Amino acid sequence: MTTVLIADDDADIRDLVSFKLEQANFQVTAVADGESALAVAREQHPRLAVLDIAMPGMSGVDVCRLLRGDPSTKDMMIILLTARVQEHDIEGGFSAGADDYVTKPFSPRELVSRVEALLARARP
Amino acid sequence: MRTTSVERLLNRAFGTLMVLILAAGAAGIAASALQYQSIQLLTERVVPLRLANKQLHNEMSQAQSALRGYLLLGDPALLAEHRRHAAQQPLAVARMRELARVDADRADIDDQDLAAQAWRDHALVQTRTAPRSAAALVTSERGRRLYAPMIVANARMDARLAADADRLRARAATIRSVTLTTSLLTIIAAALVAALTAVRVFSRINAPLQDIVRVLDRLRHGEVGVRAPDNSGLVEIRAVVQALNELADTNDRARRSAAERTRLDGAAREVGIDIRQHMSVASAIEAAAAGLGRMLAAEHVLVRLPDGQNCLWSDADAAPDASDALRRYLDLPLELALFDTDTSSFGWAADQPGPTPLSDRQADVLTAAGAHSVLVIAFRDPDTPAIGTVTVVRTEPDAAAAFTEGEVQVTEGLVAGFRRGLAKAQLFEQEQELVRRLKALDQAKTDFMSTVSHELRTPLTSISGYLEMLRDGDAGEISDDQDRMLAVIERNTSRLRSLIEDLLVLSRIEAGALRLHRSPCDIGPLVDAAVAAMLPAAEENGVQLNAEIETGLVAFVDPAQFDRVLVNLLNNAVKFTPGGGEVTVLARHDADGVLVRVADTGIGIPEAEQPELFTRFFRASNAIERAIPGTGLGLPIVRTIIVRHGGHIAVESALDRGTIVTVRVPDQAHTPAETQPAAVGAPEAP
Repeated sequence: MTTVLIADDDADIRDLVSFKLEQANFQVTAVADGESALAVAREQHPRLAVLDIAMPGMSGVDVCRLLRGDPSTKDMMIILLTARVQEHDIEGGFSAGADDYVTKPFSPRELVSRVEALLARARP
Repeated sequence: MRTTSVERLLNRAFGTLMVLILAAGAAGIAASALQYQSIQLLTERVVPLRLANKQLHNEMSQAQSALRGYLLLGDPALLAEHRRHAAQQPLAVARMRELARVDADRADIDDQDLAAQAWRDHALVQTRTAPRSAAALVTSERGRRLYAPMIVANARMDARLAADADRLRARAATIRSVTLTTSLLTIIAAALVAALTAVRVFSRINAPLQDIVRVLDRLRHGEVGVRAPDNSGLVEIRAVVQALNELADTNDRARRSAAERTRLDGAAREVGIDIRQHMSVASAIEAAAAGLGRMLAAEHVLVRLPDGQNCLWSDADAAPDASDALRRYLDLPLELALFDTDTSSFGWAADQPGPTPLSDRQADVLTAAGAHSVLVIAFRDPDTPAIGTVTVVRTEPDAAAAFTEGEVQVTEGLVAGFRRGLAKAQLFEQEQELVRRLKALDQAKTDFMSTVSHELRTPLTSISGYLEMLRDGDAGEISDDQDRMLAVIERNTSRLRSLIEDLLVLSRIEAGALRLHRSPCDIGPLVDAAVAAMLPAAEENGVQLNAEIETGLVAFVDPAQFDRVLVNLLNNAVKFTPGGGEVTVLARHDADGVLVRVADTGIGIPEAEQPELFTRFFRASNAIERAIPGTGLGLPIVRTIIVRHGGHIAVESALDRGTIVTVRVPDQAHTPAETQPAAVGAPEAP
């Protein structure tokens, strides 16, 4: 089973995403902050991480950048979640190495589709 | 040179002339009198006397010859003739005595009378003698002897009288020739004097007059410094020269004063312009102080505003300790004591004529700082009773350092202008402060809107996410009623979401965070795509969507933002057009760029509400009545984007008949310079 990491400080959204991904047969690890996300990612090496940008402490963009800089995690698929839609946020996210970008509010169904699409594309 | 006057010169000349003429006249009169006297003597004495003498001679010779004839012939007729002539003799002598004027005459007459008497006595004897007798011969002979002395005396007198006549005539002739000569000489002398005087007077008047004319001519040609020489010996000429030089001096002073005034006016105008260019109070005061100081060539200028703000300007060459002393002057409170004007200082108050309100202490400080001439101009704050002052200080201790009336006047005008400029600068500062606060407020509002929008998205995500899962049956089967209710929630969630989107867009645009990435791009495909995207919604509403698009519609726009405009306009048109209606999109070339027109046959906008269309959150009353969803942010967003592109938007609408929205965006050639990115060179406008 493919492991997916979800990091969001909002428990409701975390639960929502976990629920939909588990429903789609993913192994989901949910964390509430950037530091935990980084620790889990380095420990469990999930195939894909859904990271909320605006988290207290380390942001999703910071985690993304660190994961990309680490050889053991640099191939991990990363989707950034954010309530911000300004150009520089999106640019910042992509320049940090995100594979996709989903703005809040989003359709859980659509998010799952994107996760599946990314994983399918990444699978050689 | 000996000083005299033209009057005296002419008086002397004419006096001499007059004396000469009088002398000539007097000589003539005297000569005439002498001549008259000679002629008088000749006519009154000598000639009648001589005639009388001749007559006496005649009577005597007639009497003698008649007597002799009688004695010889005895003719009684001859005797009668003798008696008649002899009787005439005493009468002739008597007439001669009447005419005699000199003793010589009288002596000669006496001689003749005596001889005649003797002859007449003997003639009586003869007449008694018988004629033609010997006795007659003897007496006759004796008678002839007595006759001879009588004739001799007569002849002597005649000779003397003839000599007298000759002498008188000679004298008259001499007098005439002397008179003639004298007159001639006098006239020649008078003529010489006149000519000499004319020459002398002319030469003494002409040269200085020529000088004056030359000086006048040079003055007239602008040689303002030239003066006539004041060395003429003639009082009148000297007076004229002095008057001329005084006039030239006066003119010179007037010209200098006018030139100085012109210079001051010009300098004041420049200072005034300089002051007005400073929009902050502090820099305006500095400009005023420095400008006044330079304009008036003063060492220090102290400006003190009614609110206590002040500035001290000192000339670079001024003593630094004087500046320190003057700083204390500014700190002293302005007391309403009359300024004690001394001879070297000048006080004037702008609002009240008369001396400036300065305290003794202030005056003392000024004096201690070396002030020699002080010009104080007070001005009043228009709104408060507080008084400000401009104090101009000159420390040069010479008389030229005193402020002239012109300087005072110009400075007064400048201070009045400064006061107005100050009020303007104060207003401007207040305005700036207001603008700053408003901007801060606006930024706070934008930040707030942005934050709120972001913060709203997170709960909205949970709501819409869970809603979706519920409706997808992720939490188990739901009834139709439940699904209908959830649909209502979903619709309103979506409405809330678009409201948040629009708010966010608008706040970003207004915050200036919207960066336009403009490039020349073909509008045609953009319109095409927007129409295609809108087709499903149009079909759903039963609205026919037409598009007429010209080719090659290149405009200088940000495609993403322009797409936002098109989507907004098409969305509105379809949304507000009931089923069976029509929406027509027209895109074509325009004089200044590209025109896009979206016309619908929808519900229209009440005319009274049309001016409000671009107001945020404004929604037309008929749209609210019909419960057509919307945020009232679409058109404000559209207009802001179009305006940022340097374009125009116009809305025409008729209630229940439809709305036409026309958007014009410039092509690159017509883009106003300020909206163009600096990197893109603006081509010359055709």
